[in-house]
Amino acid sequence: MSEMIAVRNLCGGYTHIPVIHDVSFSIRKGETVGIIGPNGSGKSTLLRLLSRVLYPEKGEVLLENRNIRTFPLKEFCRRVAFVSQEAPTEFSFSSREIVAMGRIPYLRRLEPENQNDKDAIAEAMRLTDVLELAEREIQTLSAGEYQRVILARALAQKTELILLDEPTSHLDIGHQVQFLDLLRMLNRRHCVTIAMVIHDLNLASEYCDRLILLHEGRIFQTGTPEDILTYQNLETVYKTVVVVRKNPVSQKPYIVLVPQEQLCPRN
Amino acid sequence: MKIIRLIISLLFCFLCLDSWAQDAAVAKKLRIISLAPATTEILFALGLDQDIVAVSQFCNYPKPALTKEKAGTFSAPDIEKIVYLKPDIIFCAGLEQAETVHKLRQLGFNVCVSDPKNFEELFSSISAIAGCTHTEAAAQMLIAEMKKRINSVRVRASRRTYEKKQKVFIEIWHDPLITAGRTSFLNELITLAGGENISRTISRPYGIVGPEFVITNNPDCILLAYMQPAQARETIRKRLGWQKISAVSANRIYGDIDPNILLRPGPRAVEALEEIYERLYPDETSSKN
Amino acid sequence: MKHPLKIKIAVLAGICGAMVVLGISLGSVPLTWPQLLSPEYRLILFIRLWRLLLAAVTGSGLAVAGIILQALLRNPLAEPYLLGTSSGAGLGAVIAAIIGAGSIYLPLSAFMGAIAATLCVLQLSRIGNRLPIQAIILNGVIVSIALSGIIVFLISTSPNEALHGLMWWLWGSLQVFDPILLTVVTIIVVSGIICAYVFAQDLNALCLGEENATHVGVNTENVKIVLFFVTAIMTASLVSICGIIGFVGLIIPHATRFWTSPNHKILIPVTCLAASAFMIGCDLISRSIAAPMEIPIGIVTAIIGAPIFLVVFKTKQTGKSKP
Repeated sequence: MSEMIAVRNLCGGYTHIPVIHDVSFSIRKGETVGIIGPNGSGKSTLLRLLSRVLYPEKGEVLLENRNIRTFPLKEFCRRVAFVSQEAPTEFSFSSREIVAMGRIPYLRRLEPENQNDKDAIAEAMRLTDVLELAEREIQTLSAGEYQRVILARALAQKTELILLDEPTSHLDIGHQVQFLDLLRMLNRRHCVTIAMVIHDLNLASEYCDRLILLHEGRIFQTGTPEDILTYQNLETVYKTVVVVRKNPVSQKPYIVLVPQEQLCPRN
Repeated sequence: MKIIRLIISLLFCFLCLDSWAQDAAVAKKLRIISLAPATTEILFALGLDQDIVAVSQFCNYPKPALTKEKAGTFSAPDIEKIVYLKPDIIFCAGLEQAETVHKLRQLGFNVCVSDPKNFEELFSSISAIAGCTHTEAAAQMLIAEMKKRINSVRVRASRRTYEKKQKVFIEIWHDPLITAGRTSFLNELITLAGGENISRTISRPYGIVGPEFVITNNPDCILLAYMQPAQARETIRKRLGWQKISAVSANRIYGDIDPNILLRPGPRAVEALEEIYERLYPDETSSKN
Repeated sequence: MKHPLKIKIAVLAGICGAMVVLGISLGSVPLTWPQLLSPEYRLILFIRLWRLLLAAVTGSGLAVAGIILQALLRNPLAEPYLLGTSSGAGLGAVIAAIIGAGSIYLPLSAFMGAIAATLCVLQLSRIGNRLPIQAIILNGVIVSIALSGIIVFLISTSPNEALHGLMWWLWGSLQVFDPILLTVVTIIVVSGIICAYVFAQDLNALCLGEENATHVGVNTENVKIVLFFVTAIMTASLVSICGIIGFVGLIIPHATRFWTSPNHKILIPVTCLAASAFMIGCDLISRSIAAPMEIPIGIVTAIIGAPIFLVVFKTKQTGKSKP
């Protein structure tokens, strides 16, 4: 698998005070990478440094061996899409109009949609199962439905890489699994590379090929879920006691949290 | 494009109006619009009743003016009406109507502005108006008549030089307290009538003063230049600290002069002069009766 | 909201057309159509047509400026005067009147004042190469208040009679008779509206927030600079010849967005139609309700605009509370 994204000695943050310090890693084509870590460890910041919303203080991000800043913005957006956790804006667009914005990287300013664009939009909405929501206003959608619309927008961009920022945080279990199953299908069948910031360690374990564990703005460790999700790592980084088991169905690591009152006194 | 055609058509109209105005001026019957009440009175005094096609809404003297077509208010002219009436000359007042004058001139009308601050300027103004309207003879008679009446008052006032001059406070509005400064027409009237305007230190025509200013200067009489209700004088008497003022304690607050003649620099300004003189020296008037 | 878009546009176009016809027929001088078209009264016809054109241009210009600012600032209260244009223009006009520069230089002075105020607001808000939105809103309000204070101070300390003549400024007036000024302003406004339409795609994306707009390939900082510039020039030129006409730039965008679509490719042309109809209607009312006196147009737009705004807002609210 070839290297798609290479991050070298990246330092950056929202202001001049860096949140991310000297981070280096790579993402290979076709992978699903999960970025995990405690609150404030810089996960979202890192993702935004990859998506060009934030400028790095030091270091660089390479896409196929080219610094991402050297791409014209629209061309970059034809290769990299972003799914954020956003609430529907107060402007009452229809779902289709939101998904259609994913074609902006392909359209010049006054250019109308051609058949290619219409097909891409329809396909994206079909994959995410939001076709019947096409003419509904986004304020009338549930959180799960809207998240799928946002994903459809990213899919309409027809990119090789999709970055996701905690896409399942406010979804219930059913919708979480549905969403991540969809991502897995895109990854396996349509060869879309996925890099997502994910909160829930068990979901990360199930759905990611590789994990990057961040701690205080630096990489603590990278590797497979089996390598990363050990109780030693998690107790060091998250500063809480956990027990790690195996998921009986998938054999992946499965984290059990331990409330204070259950702790036995240690010697 | 439509815009270019419109511009060319408008320019054409300007040219037509311009040449037509010039022709019309030579002909005997002029079409006059007056947007200033003072100028309306002058025009009627010059015998131009028949030539006036419209006046402003506030032109209420003399009586025939009330029946004339109305062409808008003092500050907002009715442009369509004015265009429709096709005037040869439009008369306007001074700075307050600057925008109006500008707009009318942009439309190609001949606009004459008059804004006299004293009698000298008023006489020049009357002569200028007479020059535009070919009524020089009537103007000379009017000016002569006015000068005669002014001189009569001036002579009577000069006979009283052995007395201290009467100090006068003119109240143009009560809230805020507005008075007439040195460069106003009212100041000239008071000076000619033998009085001393306590606000002559203000160089502008109108100024807002505080009540302490009036108390400090202690006028001998107060003239009200606005329409007031019956209890107005009582209200003024009750103003804080004003009881010490000579004018208040001697009950010399006069609100009975028609504000229109006080504030309009026109033919009735001499009447205003005479009225002011009578208020300043009431003993002379009563002894005459 | 259920009716197809084409019908709504047809209705708006019909209303606009009816307003134009009424605007030509009605005036303080009753004239029949044959009379109006005759050479004798052609100047009156032109005066009415100029006025209608100015009403349409002013309405469309202010409404599109409102659309742009509401999308860029993502604030429903954004309107064209938010960047300090109205106070800046007012200050320019008052200074021109005080120094006795005469009516000829007043529009130019007002225009320069408006642009200076807007540049001041944008410069104050700038951080490096970026223009953060909250800063712009705050600085716009502060600069407006400060300049208004200076205006009141100047007016109260120099009771120059010429300032009385500026009273129309506070509430707006569509009586402009300088064909060159009118043409220049029309060209500026039409160019601005076309520019806004060209950027419709970017405005749509910006409605999602700057981050999301960047993620779909919109260069937000460049777009913001261009569109703020366009809005400032459009608003400044309109304020400098017409005075302050409020409510149009705030309400018409909301009403058309609610009635048709937030998609700027549709919103911008429909708003131009609606705003033109609205302004021409308000102009008719201002001329006829208290004839022969004319109510300043800003008062009419406020009196009519406020209830419309409340109705639109209420309908939106009740729509949202339904499951």
